[in-house]
Amino acid sequence: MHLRRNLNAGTTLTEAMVAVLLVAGFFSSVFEVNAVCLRYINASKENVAAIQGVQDRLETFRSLAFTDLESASYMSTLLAVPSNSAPLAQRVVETITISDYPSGIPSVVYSRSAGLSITPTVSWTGGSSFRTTTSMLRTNVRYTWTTTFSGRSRSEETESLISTGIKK
Amino acid sequence: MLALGTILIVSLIGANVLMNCTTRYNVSSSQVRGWKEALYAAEAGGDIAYAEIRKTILDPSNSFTGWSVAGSIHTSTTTTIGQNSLTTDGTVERFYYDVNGNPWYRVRTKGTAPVMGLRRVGMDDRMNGTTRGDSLLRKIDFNYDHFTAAYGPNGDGVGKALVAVPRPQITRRIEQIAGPVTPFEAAIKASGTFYGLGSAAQIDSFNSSNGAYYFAANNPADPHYSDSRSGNVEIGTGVATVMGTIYGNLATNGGTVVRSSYVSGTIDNNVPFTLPPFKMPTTLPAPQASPSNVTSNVVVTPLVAGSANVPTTYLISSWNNKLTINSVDSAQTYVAIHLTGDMTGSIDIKPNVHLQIFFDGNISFKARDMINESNVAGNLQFYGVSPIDPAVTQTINVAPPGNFAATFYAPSADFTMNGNPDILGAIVCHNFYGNGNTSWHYDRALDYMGDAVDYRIASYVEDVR
Repeated sequence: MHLRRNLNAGTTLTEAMVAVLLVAGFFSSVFEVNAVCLRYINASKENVAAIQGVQDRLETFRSLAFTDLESASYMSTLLAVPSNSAPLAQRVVETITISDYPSGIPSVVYSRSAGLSITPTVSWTGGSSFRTTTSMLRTNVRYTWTTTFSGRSRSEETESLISTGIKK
Repeated sequence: MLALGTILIVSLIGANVLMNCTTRYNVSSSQVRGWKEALYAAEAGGDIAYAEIRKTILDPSNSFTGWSVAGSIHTSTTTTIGQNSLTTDGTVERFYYDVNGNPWYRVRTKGTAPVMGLRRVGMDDRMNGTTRGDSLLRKIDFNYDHFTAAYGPNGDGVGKALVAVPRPQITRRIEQIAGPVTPFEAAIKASGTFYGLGSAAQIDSFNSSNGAYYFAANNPADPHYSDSRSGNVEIGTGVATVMGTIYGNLATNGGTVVRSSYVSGTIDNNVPFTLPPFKMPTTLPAPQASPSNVTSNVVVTPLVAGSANVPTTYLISSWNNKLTINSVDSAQTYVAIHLTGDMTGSIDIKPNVHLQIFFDGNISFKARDMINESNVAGNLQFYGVSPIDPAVTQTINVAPPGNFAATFYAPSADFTMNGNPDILGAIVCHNFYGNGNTSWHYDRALDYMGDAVDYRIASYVEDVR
């Protein structure tokens, strides 16, 4: 028996639906991969900006005179502007905690809400100023922000110890 | 088949893009953060060590508490800081004594930060055809501590071993040198108020290393002119009445200088500073049995010449007569006196004698009774040990007639001087008052002389291996 291909035969509806599903699935995958990549890129950019931001802030603290680092009024003025010019730095809530090391008392928390020129709130615990005998401070910088794409809350922080003395 | 092939190829491209994104994200966030935080941890450890070094001067009884000691090396425990559990530890080695007998310290600290994310190096290694860069520079320890394996735990090639790390990490190491801050950086330094000197007074400088003093501050052609205009005056408040001519710089903290034409150097009215209390050094040798007071004329010739960091030491309770100190033959002879009471007597130190007097009480003398036969101010140094009660103020009173060559470091003392003495030396005090037409000559050799009153970081390098 010889089978001949019927050149005039079309595809069945089932075949067409399978093809459409395959193509739709493929393009959905492509778009999803693309979206994931975009989210990664965006998350990466925000994370890098956040890392750079907290590190810029910490390096600024390290270069300050120790008496300025202890001064709430000086710090409030300093923290009125974001740590750097990255757009993210204006979108984050910045929390800076400075405490006596190693006792941890007293400590002061500066909370800076998002914005370009923001005066931070100042909250002391265990006193209203550092003691004259304080020779080391623990400094913690924390960024909190909401990611652009998925709207998730993210945070980044870093910490160091800074002593008084002549280091420059 | 064609469609499936196309899907496969495009999927591979997509997967590759995703992998590239993931790798770059991994490097730019996790590994860069670890790299920088490791340095912060190392610097935090360096600051912990530096604070302990400063305590050797400012709080000797509490310095290096909790550190282990072996010979001249102190070793810290591990300190953990931050949400990311950064760790730091280090050593402090006393490696050198300078000509003043002050120790210098070498601080070596390492900081370790965990590396989150994938155990994967970056994609941007290749700088050119043969050189690789970033990832190698960062030296991430994914499985083993590369430093211990290649250089040993102390970096000296001893004890090399393959040591597994508990998790991927980056370790950075820094070395700092802490050098002493000597006390006499200005002719007059007062942390409180200042009044003086007379309207015809003058403050200039010279360098005793070049020979005896002569006035050169108005002669630019003089070979020692460059040493003649460092008669600096530093005042820690804005409460100052400054008179006379100053061949040097004038600094106040909020003052307003109105006779600026009488100051040859710069005027800076925004120089805040504080002087920490001076504590009795704990490194002096045990005192000699006698003399224990100077209530009659006493002549002392030490048994040995000693050295700057091991002087012959005396403990004296009262001093109201004359003390003469001879050198050991013609050798440079180093002597330290701890005076627990007041001083109203006189002193005569012979050439080649280097004397430091640490006094707990007050000092009052006539300028002529302070005989320093070498005429080198650095050979007669007074240190006022700050009273335990900060409300108590010491006094140093200098009365006419006569001249003297000496230095005073007394951050808790009020200094009062009457008459018109000719002075070679420097003073650091709380309040300063001088009403005479004094000629004050700061000796630039004092720039690097005297007991350490603090420590500063003199150098900083990173061990990039």
